[in-house]
Amino acid sequence: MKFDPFLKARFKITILISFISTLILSAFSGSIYYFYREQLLYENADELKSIVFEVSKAVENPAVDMSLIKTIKIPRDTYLCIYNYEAKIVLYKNKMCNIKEFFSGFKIHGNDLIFGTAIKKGDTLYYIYAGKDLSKLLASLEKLKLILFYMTFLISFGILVFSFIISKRILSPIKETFEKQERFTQNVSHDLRTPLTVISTNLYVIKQKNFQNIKQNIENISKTVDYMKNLVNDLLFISQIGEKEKKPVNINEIIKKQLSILSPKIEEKNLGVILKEEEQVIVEANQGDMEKLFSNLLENAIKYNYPNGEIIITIKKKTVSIKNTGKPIDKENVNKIFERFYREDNSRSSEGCGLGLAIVKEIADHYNFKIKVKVDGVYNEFIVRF
Amino acid sequence: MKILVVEDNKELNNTLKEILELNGYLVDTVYDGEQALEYIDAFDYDLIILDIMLPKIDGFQVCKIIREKGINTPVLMLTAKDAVADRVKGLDIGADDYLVKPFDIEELLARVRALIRRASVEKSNIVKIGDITVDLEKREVYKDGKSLMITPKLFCILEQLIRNRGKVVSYESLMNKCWDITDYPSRETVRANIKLLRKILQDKDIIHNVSGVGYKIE
Repeated sequence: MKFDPFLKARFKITILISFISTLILSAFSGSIYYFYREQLLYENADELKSIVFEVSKAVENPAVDMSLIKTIKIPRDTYLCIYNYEAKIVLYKNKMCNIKEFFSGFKIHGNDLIFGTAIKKGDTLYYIYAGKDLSKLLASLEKLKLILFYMTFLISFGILVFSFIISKRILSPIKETFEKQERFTQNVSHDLRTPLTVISTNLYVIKQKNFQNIKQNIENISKTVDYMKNLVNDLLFISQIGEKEKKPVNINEIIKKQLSILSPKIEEKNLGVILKEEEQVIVEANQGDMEKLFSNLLENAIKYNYPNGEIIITIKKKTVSIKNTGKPIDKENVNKIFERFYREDNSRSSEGCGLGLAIVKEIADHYNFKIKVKVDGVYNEFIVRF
Repeated sequence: MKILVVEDNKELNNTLKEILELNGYLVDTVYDGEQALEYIDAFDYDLIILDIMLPKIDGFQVCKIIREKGINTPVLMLTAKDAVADRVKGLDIGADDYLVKPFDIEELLARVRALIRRASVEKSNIVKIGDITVDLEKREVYKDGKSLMITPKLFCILEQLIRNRGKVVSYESLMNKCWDITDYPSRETVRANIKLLRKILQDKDIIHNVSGVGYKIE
């Protein structure tokens, strides 16, 4: 199996896209989590702060008896502790605090969020803590974290698959061009092998014959060089189909122009040409491609015609039909005639190089035209459907 | 030695014929697979040079068909395709050798010689018969160290007898291998040439008559 550079490029693109999108996604969900968490903590901290604030006001008030502190109303899920530093007495409501050292501000202790402050009443120092059990909240945050993680993972995987698929589409035009080039190179190297052999063989013979009686060999070489010239031009043409400028092209005019160019060959065989123009056909295409398409079909109709034969061209809105008299094409060979270098019979002259109908097919394929061949015993008919 | 060249490129076909003829072979040429099969059926060849890309019936098919018919003539395939799969296919189907275009003529000639040698009874290129030495590659005959003048036709007859040393070579076989069909050779022609050959070799006992059938060299 040949190493496929496109598969490699696809993998690279896929990995790059996935990596970047996973990075962005992770950052995104990470920040969602972080901000949400901060928001929740902030709300709860506010609540605790206001409790401590109220309590400390009460504690500061000399008129308030400390035992009354227990009657202060606080929300059910919060608790309060007041620690008399001098007397080492703990007053608490809802839940005992286990805090041993003093701190001021917020602290998370186990599942609890605690806000603490210190107040002096006379000579006595009070530490006031208000706390709240956040275990439910933390559990739901944990859940959120998990959800975000799975989501990130799933979306990243989705992007991986998606980018593998999309990379094919991104690369397909490049791949097409590349394959075309490669095919061209292969064709050139393949198709030039036989003519090269002809030249080298003839040169060998010329040398062996000591440059005597070499007229035929020189002729062989010059014929082959002409053939190679045509071949390279045709191959180059095939490789450039569809890369040229497109505009509306009048098919009727093209056919008439090609007929006039081919008229010497038509007269030589004394062929009767009938042109039936039922409609004016205009196609969005490259002028050169269309000229080649129809000139090749017409040349074919001339080349494989009987002397004094007939060519009937019918131009309709969606189709052009080119019918010619001549030896009927074998049913089993109908598909083969579009193959490169195929010739139905071997009474070949050096003209053309067997690429005529192959070029027709390449052009038709490029423009999505359909080519149909009908053989009825009298006529061979080529129909181009736009 | 008679060779059939099957190649659809006219120029190459004609040049191969010319070059092989310059090297002392008798050559028939055909341009497609169908003709090739007709020729192979009708005549006896020492070697078939067969192109793969042919009109009507391709080279692989031709090779397959003749092998199925039991014809063991050596086949040298020519192709423009350099793919290993193609080479393997050709050899599997019964081709004896394989040359990729563009090939070197010297190599082609060497392979032609090798294939013919492989098919013949006499395996070496330099053969001694009594006091006569025959160099099948240089196409020369020596007696007592001196080179003998010999025409291509007579050398062809001698070569056929040497290649099939110990076996009887029939009149028909000699006519087939050493004369063009358009020459219309008869047994009388063969007899006359054998007589001439014996005279040149200055030895009557090298070539034995096998009456009514042909000749042989022991």
